[in-house]
Amino acid sequence: MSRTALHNDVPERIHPEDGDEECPICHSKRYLRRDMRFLINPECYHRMCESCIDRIFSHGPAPCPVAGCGKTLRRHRFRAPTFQDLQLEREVDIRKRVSQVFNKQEDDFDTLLDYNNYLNDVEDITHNLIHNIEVDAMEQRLREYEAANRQAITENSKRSNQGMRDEKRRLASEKEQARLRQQSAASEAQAYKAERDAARRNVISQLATGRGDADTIARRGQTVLKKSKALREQYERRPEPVDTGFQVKGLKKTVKAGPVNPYDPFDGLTAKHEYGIVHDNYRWQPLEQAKKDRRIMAGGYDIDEYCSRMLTDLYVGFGVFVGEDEDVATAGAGMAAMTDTVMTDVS
Amino acid sequence: MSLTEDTLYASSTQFRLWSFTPEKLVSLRAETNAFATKNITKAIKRARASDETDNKEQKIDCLTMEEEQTLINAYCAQLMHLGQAKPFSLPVSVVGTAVQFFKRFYLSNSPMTYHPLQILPATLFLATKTESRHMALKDFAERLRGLTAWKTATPDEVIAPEFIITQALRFSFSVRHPYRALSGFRLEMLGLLEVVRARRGPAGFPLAVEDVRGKLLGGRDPEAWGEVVQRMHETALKYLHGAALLSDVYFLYAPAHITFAALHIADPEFTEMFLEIPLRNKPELKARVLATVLACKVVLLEAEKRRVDKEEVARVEAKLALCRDPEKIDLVGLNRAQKRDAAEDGQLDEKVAKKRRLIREKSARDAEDLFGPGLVGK
Repeated sequence: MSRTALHNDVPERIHPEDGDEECPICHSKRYLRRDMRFLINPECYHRMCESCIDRIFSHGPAPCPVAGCGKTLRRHRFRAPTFQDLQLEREVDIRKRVSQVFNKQEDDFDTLLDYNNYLNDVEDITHNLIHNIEVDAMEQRLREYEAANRQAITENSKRSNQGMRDEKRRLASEKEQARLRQQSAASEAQAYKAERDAARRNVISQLATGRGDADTIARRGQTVLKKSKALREQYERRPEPVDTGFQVKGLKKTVKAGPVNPYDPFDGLTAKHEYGIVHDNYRWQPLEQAKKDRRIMAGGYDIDEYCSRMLTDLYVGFGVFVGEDEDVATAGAGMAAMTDTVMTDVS
Repeated sequence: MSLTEDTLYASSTQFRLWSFTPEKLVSLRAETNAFATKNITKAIKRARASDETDNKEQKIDCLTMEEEQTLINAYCAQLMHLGQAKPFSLPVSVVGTAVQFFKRFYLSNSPMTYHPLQILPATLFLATKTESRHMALKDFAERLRGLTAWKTATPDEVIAPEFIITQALRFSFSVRHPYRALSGFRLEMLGLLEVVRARRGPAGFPLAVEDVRGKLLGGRDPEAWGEVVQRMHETALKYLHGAALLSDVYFLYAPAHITFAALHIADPEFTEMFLEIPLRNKPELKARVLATVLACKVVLLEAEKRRVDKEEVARVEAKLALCRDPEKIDLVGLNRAQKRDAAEDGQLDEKVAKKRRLIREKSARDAEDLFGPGLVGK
């Protein structure tokens, strides 16, 4: 039988969205009956509508009404096709049937080559059955093999079922383990956080009540915090969970942002008195008055800052000589370039 | 990185842009004078060519550098007086800054190009703004009209040269005045008193208490010392508020050197003794500072002695009237010409006005295009 014969055997594909879908037996269209269902029988894979099946096969087996087919069909064998492509439907059915008979597994063979040869033979039979090549001979081989190996087939079938059950159980247990792991990690993190917060609260309340030296309290608080830090590190050092066989590789490493330094408006620049010496206290009436004047001090005015500024004003440029000190001038220019834009000569 | 008094000053615009050696200062002024002379001779010739009534044969006699300086110094003195007297009554901080602006302006411009009478009110007005003593322009012009030289001054005339001035100042408006340092000096004196009283100095204090009492205070009672300090302060302030502002010391020396020069005038022995304290362990620097202070002192004393020679000034004024840049007399018109709608008044040069009008019309036309005018001019 040639491969072209296939097309005579199997009806052509019909698109479900096609409103003109028509039953080949009664010629009623989906256009008139929206709830129309088409069923097939794996004996010949001819598609027909449900009402036709009811009408023809309700009284027992009858030949297929499609002209030229004549295969005897039974009503209980009719089913809705899984695939639109009925050739595919048929191929799946055949493969299912063959694999139920030829159900040996790799560990049944001594060598891989033997297993592959076996698979090749099975595929030959399957291919011929699908494409209607020497069907009778193939069916014959299938039946003979089934009869000869009935015992082994049953055993293999049982074993494969057992394997599937085992696999299911393994998956379930893995899921359960992951859940337990997550739960324990969360509770541990919570415990660490609670302990740290308690330690902090303790330090703050001790500082607030004002009993004892602030430094000592802070230090004691530090040791508690350290202890809880050690706990956290212990948690972080825990061994990685056992490999479950599922790994994602090539993920980028996330870099944790470091602690943010306190904001420095002068960017590390500090004022220093090279020449003047700021005394702790100046006995001067205006300064004394300013210190007491709430109008001046309320705004946060700093008398020491004022003194420092006055001294800076006294010595500003003390060691800078016009046209002489190249290095100081260059340093100054560098500093100026840092702090403002360089003026361009426009005049 | 730490910011000391030296780096602080070295990074200032006063040092970077407005400090020169005496030679450089002279050469700058000579350059400005030569440049102005050349340009003004050309400008006057151009003006004569178009004006038929003018005497074409008359020699163009420009001011010399010395004459320019006489004029500028006279106007500086006038500015000092004008700012501090009624009706302005501004503090020295404002007037001093104005004087410095005025001096800086005429470092790169000649009085022949821009007449001091036009520039002077503008610098004062600018200084009121930079020193936070701003008054309304209208108010300023009204006060100015009370003075004989500016009877007809309008707000426009005051503001007209402002951009030229800011440009000549190279957009740096900060002036570091040495008189501010006198408060610091007073503070240092108070610190010394504390040392004597407490019989010990702060950490790093270089002198022994006995030295402070014996050498620095001359064995006098520290409680009576306030009077001496007050006297020094007053003398120094007189120089710093007067001679220092009118002379060229701001161009030549750092503020600290000018202050100590003024203090040196008030009490040389004490000042030299006092310099031990900031210059402890720095003998090399001490020699240089002392030399600079003494040089500055000479300039200050000279400036103090200088009197405005009214006859000479009158002569230069008369000469200036004949050699002014004819194109720069109408500053208000020039200022307006810089702005957009100047052409309407017809005061702008015909060609420039026409060119500007064409450009404006073209851009208006282009703007009506589907996708607007091009981003870059062709």
